[in-house]
Amino acid sequence: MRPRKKIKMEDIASQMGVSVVTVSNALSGRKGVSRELREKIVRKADEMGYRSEETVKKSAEPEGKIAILTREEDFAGKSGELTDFSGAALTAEKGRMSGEQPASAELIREARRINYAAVPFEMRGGELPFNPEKMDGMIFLGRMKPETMENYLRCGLPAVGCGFYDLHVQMDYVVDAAYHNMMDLVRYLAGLGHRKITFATVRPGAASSMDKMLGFWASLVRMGLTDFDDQCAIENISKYTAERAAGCAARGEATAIVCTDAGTQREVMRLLGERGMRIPGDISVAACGGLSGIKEEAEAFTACLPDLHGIAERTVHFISRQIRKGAGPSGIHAVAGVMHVGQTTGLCWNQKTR
Amino acid sequence: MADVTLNDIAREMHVSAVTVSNALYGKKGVSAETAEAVREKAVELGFDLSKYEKKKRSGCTIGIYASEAYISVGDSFYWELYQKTMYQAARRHCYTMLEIAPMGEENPPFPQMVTEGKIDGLIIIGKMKREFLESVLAAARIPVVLLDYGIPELPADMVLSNNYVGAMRATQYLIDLGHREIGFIGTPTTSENVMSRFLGYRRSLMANHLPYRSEFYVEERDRRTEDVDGIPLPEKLPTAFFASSDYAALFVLEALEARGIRVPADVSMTSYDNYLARRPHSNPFTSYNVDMEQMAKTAVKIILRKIAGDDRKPSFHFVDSELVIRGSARALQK
Repeated sequence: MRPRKKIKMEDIASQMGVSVVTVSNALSGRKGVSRELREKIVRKADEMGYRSEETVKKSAEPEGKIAILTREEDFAGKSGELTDFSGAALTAEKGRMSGEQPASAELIREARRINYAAVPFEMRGGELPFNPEKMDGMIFLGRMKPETMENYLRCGLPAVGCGFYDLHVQMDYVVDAAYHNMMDLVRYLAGLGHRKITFATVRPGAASSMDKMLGFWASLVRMGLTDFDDQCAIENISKYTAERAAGCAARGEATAIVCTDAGTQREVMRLLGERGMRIPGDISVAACGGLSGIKEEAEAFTACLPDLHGIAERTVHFISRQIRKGAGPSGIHAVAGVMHVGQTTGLCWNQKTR
Repeated sequence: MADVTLNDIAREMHVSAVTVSNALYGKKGVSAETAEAVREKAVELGFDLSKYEKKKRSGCTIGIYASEAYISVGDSFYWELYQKTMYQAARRHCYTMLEIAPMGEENPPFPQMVTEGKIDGLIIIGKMKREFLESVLAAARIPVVLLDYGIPELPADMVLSNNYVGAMRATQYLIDLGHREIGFIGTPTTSENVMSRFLGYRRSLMANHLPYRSEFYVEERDRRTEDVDGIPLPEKLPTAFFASSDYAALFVLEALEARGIRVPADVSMTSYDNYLARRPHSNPFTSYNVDMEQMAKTAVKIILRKIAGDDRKPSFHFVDSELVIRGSARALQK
């Protein structure tokens, strides 16, 4: 689907041994050309791939096509392995979040900006849901099994993973910088005066949760709130449940809680409510990534959110680099998140007494 | 308030929009006085000039600031990074200017090329004191990019090797070869880069459900002086080590050999950098490549973008690469 040399009316005229005016009249349906000759000219023009300025303007035919591949089961919303980026986006696409820009819509828009048409496909089984001959590239949106990806990659099309990475499948990936976002979030809370900050997750096994645990620990070390030599503490963080965090808050052992995702944040806030604690009066709660599927929540929750737009922009950039320049894969690219300050965080209540 | 347009300036100046455009682009057909007056008016009205300033960006001067310690010896990692940065700038028709932070000074002086207004943008290469970086970022009215060193909370663009992911790649490689007891060599408290590499290593253990064993954690240098003086290797060794740099790996290799332990026959190793000063062709380690060329390219690209008026929020930029396989790791027989 590479752009060919542009065919002009002159080319058709010289091929047919007629004048340019005749070609023009024939193609625009004006008088003065026999029906027979007109049909011949139209056929020839079609054959040579001629497109009038008007058709070019009207159709603005894209330079190429990119498939956006999503997993069927992601739509069921039961997978705990999903990254926040695609997970939230896919939930959104199911219509639970209105008025927001989900991931594939961002990808489609970004692709259009550089004159590519991006088309979403749901993956079912191992079969390619499209004809690879008629496609220029693939975007894997959300984590997939390495075997599935390898299987798809066999068709030889350029590919970029969006919202996840897999060290065992070599290609470009664009991900939310979960580890660094968590550091940003903890720093934000520290800026509000919080020194007793704890962690909570309802899905410790998720890939991005691990990044966030490490980011959380690294922040505490940076700020001198944890001793670097207490390295075994890292593994303990994976056991920090929502219940534990709520308990810490109730006992005054924490003035702020960072959560791995919106689901955890919701659960933590529910448990705090049961204990009669006010947010943010008594305790601040913030999440690192994981857009809430509910719009009101997304607005109210303080969170460091994945930069949907930035991730889509980079994803399209890398796929177009491969398609247009034949560039090889360059690895994993992390995009910094964006802080959203909602109503669930406030100044540390015991800052004055300290 | 709506953005100021060419027409607004034209109306105010009683000239045509074309004249305004020509004046801003510095094209012919406009007298010098009118051009100057238009430019002044544009600034006064708050017109966005970045689009027009882009034209002028080639031929700008980029200052490079690096520690004397790195530059004086030549043939070092930072010397090479400096050379590559200079080359990338030259390729984009920019001049470069070098200023060095004197060796042994606790607080390097404020870069003179900044105070003297000699440069359009500044690239700082390598580790610098936090207070120094803060003062430069606060006072410099030109774009600043930090290359190969970053402090997360600083409001600057930082171009870094993908420390976290690179360490994961090097550790995962050992795990894929069947290793279950993997030690770490490095001193994370001395540098953010090494800290991220340590956490990447921990991340790999976690993802593969391998326990972290603190007896296999080895610091190769003094936390305060950063001197290397004998590697405190444990009596019982793991089957493999991930070293946070080729330099550290080299010390461990020597310490192991002194004990009659062979690499990779007895202990496997992977490391980080794919760079050993003065022995580029005899690096024995399977090592994660720090893509200096791409880092230099990225740093120059960002600084030029900023000079041209891009006002995106500063961020980090990680440059990923791959593990270069050599002979320092072998598959573990079950």
